[in-house]
Amino acid sequence: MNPSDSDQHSTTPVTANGLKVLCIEDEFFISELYDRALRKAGYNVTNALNGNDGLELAKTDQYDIILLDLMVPGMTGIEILKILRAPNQTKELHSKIIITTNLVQDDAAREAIESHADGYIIKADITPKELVAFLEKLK
Amino acid sequence: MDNFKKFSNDLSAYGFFWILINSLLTVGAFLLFHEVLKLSEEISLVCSTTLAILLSIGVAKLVVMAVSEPFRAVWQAIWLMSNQDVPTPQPDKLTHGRELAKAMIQQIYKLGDAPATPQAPVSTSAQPVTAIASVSTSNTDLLELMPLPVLALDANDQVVLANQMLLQYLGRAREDVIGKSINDVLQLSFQSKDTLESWLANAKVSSVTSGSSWDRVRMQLPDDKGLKQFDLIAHYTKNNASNYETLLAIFDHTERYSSEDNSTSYVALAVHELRTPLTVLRGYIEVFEDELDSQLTPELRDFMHKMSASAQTLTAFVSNILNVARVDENQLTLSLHEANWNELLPEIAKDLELRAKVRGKTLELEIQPNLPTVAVDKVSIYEVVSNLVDNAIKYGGESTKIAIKAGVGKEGTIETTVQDFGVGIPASTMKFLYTKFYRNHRNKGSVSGSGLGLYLVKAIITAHGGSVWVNSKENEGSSFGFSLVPYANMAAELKDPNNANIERQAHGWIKNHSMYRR
Repeated sequence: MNPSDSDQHSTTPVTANGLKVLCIEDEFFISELYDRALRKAGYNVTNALNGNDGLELAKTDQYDIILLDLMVPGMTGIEILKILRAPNQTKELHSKIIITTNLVQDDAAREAIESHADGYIIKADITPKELVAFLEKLK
Repeated sequence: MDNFKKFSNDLSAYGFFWILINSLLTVGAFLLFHEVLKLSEEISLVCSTTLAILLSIGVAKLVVMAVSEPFRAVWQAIWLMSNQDVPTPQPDKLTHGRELAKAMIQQIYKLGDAPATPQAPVSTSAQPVTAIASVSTSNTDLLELMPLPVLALDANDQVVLANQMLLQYLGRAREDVIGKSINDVLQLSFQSKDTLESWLANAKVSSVTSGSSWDRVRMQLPDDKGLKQFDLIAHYTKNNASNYETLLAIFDHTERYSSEDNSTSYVALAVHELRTPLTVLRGYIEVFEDELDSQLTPELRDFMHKMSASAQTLTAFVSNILNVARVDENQLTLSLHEANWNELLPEIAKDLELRAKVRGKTLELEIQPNLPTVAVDKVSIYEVVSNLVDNAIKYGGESTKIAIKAGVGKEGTIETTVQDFGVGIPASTMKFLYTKFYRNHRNKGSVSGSGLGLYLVKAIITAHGGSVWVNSKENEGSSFGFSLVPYANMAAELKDPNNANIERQAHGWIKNHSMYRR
């Protein structure tokens, strides 16, 4: 699968900013909203609705940013994160990994996850537009 | 042997009193039947004997119970320490078993002390090798045999002994542990300020020998090997001949404690299930507000704003539920950073504007310029202001104004108040305001609410080192205030290289280690 295969939600033409985002998110509505907001902001978005597809795509290392939901079917986000960030298993990714979740975690678990990621977002606390603003700051 | 002697003395005393009381009762009963009730000698004899037999059985049972109790406790302790699944463990028995194990460790100390070779000086040397050499072998063997993870520290808090169980428990090799500082070997989090570190520091200054135990200690194993939860017991003896100044033993309860955590985590599950549709709702509403705004009639736009504000209120409520659960479980951890209150407060207020607006209220800010910076956890302080403003919206009555003021208080703290001009609070109920689930009866019918908001506000502000207060007059409105400590006051604490950022927990609880980040 390459980015152009992904479903095109947005109809608004925008100036691309050249950045590629992979959104691994099983909740279709959220996926649709993020896709739409990111495209509007000029990102090139690929969506993966389950963990296995997400991991395969992520491994190609063609994305600048990976949005990773922790609760995706097939393979959990934590497993994906472990594989992507394992020192020996894959060549080092240049992608920034942002954890997106609505899961409540104790501090210890959150800490462990955060130490392997570049950002951690509680989805309910932000709107798609605020997600875009967050990614802008990341650059 | 002393204990055993005492035990047999007790037993003879029990026996003696048993026979004495029985005889007296038999004679008494006989006299009662014969002399008072004027029954014949034979009948009196039969009656009094029957009574005596029944009594004997009762008393015998009591005595046996009293005698067997210590055995039962010992048996339970052995069972507990054998690390087998104790069928339906009762907490008090577990504690009992732990206390016995504590006594056992103390005993091991004494055993270690007794054959202490006079030529082995009390070594306080930091050299682990010599330290181990001076350790008496019987002591080491005993600790190795203990069916628990056990660790011994020297006077410099360096590990001088770790038994096989402990190495297995940590999943580390002996050479990674021996000679290392305790803080490098075990990264412990305690439930309260009463930590191993503080106890040990205190014991070293003020005690020759001291013992303590902690419940529900948490330890994150390195390399994501998981979280261990256990009870910890410690024993300290100054200048111990065996060079074991401090002995630590671990009672692993990871499974039990985490299954207990899971039972409360249904809150976590509910929160997750609520958050997903909320994320979706807020997302689609944003699309409407952003892109379709020009196509909406004023009425539709108004409806849109109400939907948006309601989704926000619900999101805030979901966070409240979660945070109250965290406060109750002492899991709410704050990470304090320097913040400019002159910027942060208006930012928060702007976010809350819509909620006020759809209820016909306006937020009026009055902030003293150039306030000293504050030390806050941004997420938590947002929740404080949000809860106070939500209350002001709810209880503001007919008045359209909500005043948010901030300034420097008498004691140099930064004081913030949120004032409404509504119904006010009767003096009689003021003292219950910060109680969980408390709701003023008069308002229960007319205003919705959970009674969690102020409880949370107080917990968060207390954890920030500040205080909360309220001024209210019936029918004139209420003013809820909180104070924050200037960053400068906390800076010394924050600049300590061991505390890159201070973390605090509700009820003033603090973690033992400073290697923490959010």
